[in-house]
Amino acid sequence: MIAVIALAIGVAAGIFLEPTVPPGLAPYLPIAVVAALDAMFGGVRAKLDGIFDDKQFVVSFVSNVLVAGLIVYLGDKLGVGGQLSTGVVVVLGVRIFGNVAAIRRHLFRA
Amino acid sequence: MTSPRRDDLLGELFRNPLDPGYTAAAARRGDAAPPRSGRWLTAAAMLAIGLLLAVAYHQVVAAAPGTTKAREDLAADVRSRQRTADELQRRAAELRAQVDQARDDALAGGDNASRLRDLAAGTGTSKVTGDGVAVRVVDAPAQVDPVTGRTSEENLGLVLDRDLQDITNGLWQSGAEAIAVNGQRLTATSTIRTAGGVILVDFRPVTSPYEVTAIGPPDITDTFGRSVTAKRFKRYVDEYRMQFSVKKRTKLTLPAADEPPLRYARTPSPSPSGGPSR
Amino acid sequence: MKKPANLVIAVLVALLGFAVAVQFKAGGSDAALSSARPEDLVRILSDLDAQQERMRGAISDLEDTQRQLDSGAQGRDAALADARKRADELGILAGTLPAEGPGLRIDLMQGTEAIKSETVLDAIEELRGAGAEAMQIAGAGGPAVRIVASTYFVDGPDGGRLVVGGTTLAAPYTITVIGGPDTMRTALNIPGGVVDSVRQHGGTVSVHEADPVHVTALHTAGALQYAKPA
Repeated sequence: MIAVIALAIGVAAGIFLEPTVPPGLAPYLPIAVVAALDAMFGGVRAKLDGIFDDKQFVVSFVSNVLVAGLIVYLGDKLGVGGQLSTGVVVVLGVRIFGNVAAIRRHLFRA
Repeated sequence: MTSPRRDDLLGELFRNPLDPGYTAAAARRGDAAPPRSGRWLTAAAMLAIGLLLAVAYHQVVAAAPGTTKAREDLAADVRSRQRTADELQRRAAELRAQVDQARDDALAGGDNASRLRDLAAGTGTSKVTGDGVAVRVVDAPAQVDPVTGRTSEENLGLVLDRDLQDITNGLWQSGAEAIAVNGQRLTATSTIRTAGGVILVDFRPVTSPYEVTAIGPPDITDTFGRSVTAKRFKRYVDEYRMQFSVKKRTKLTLPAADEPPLRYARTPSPSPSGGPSR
Repeated sequence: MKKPANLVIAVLVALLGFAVAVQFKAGGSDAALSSARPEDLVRILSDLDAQQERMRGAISDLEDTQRQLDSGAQGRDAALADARKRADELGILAGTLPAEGPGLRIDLMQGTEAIKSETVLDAIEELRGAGAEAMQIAGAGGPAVRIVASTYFVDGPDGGRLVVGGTTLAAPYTITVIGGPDTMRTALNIPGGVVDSVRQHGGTVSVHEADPVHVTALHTAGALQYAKPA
């Protein structure tokens, strides 16, 4: 419950405060969003499976975002930014789909 | 039961999208309830996620607009004004036809009407039909850089307004009597110009593939095909992967252009057209 | 339990087909405009505005003429006057009649490099886009050539010569054009436009405004042999 409220507060804060993003970080924002979504859906699925752990959730969120950003940054430096970025998005996307499917099974038994 | 191969990473990915950390933590905890302090950690992480989502939204959708929205508004403006312009032209053409009819009726035929019709055909303001040639040019496909997977910004094989001007110039030189670009008839005041990535003929946008049709003498296809302009475009085909073809066509029909209104030019008085039928 | 499921599937597939069709239709020429730069769009807008003004003027003239033609008593005189006016306008467009009006006299003087036919063609196109209604081009000490729809420009045999519709002209060239002087002057001076490209090749362009300028060269239009009225 608290988690959902915290999410709502975060979204509202982002919308109303309109923080400016430092231009250096701007390109990594989309990939950070996907990584965060992956962690979030993973958490929801774990919750529904009954094995949710807060520490694991926080760690997975932080490490997902950092690692995704790092990989994309490395890719840009090496000149294969487009490819690596695609790879990261594919992996995260597959995980999100897998977790969402599991959540769906829990919710709708379908 | 076959255990999954250790190195089947992709298969693992599809089968187990959930972090194994969750099951490990649950096993470690056993039956004990999770500590309450953990909830605040989760809340903090969710706050961060919410913030991230909102900021990303701003960044991508709401903030980009400085340029995107203004430009979209402009594009919408241009489109609506083009619609108005089209309507005005339709109205003018309608009026013109009515006036012509009323005038012809009042003059009860005579050689004035036919004289005007002949004059009109030569200036592009009346529909004509005949045999001629069709020249087709197509933009080269965008180059894709194999390493980064990005399409390169500049495409040297894009057809420019200059290219279409050269083709029409060459066709006139080869003896054309009437020319249309993608169905737009050319007159003495017709323009072919580029704005950004779009070519406009008389303010109407035309896109690739471009077809320039011309009515002219029977040998116009050969004459144009052998011209300097055609040779240059054939080179572009090899160098830039543009497409270019010159084909003979029969029974072409070119539509009439809307008669351009003359607001500044007038004949020196007295009128050299004099009076009609003597 | 099968029927409701089939219905739902049918509806979803129909929506999919609809979406695909809309997507195909939307990817039309509108996409072309959305990739244009704001500066270009602004320019198109101002051109469209100018053109609209001209159209509205033409429409009001036509409505006047129509009113006159409809009024029985003056019908025939109005008809004759309109026929004369129309013949004049078509004659100016076809180049068979001289014309006068406000406009510009543009001198193109070449420097180290010869002025190419592409530059002159570009100038003519720019002027047309800015609303030029009648034009002629003259070479050094030679007669002027009327510019009509079918006028073509080719480089002459040696440098410094231009072949315009079959007549050879020598530099420097003078273009006399009738139209809105300010609009045409602006069009010539846009970055990357005619004045810029002539200057880049070492030449100079001088523009004089006058009211009226006279376009007296005539274009002998043979009757159309191959294009027949449809």
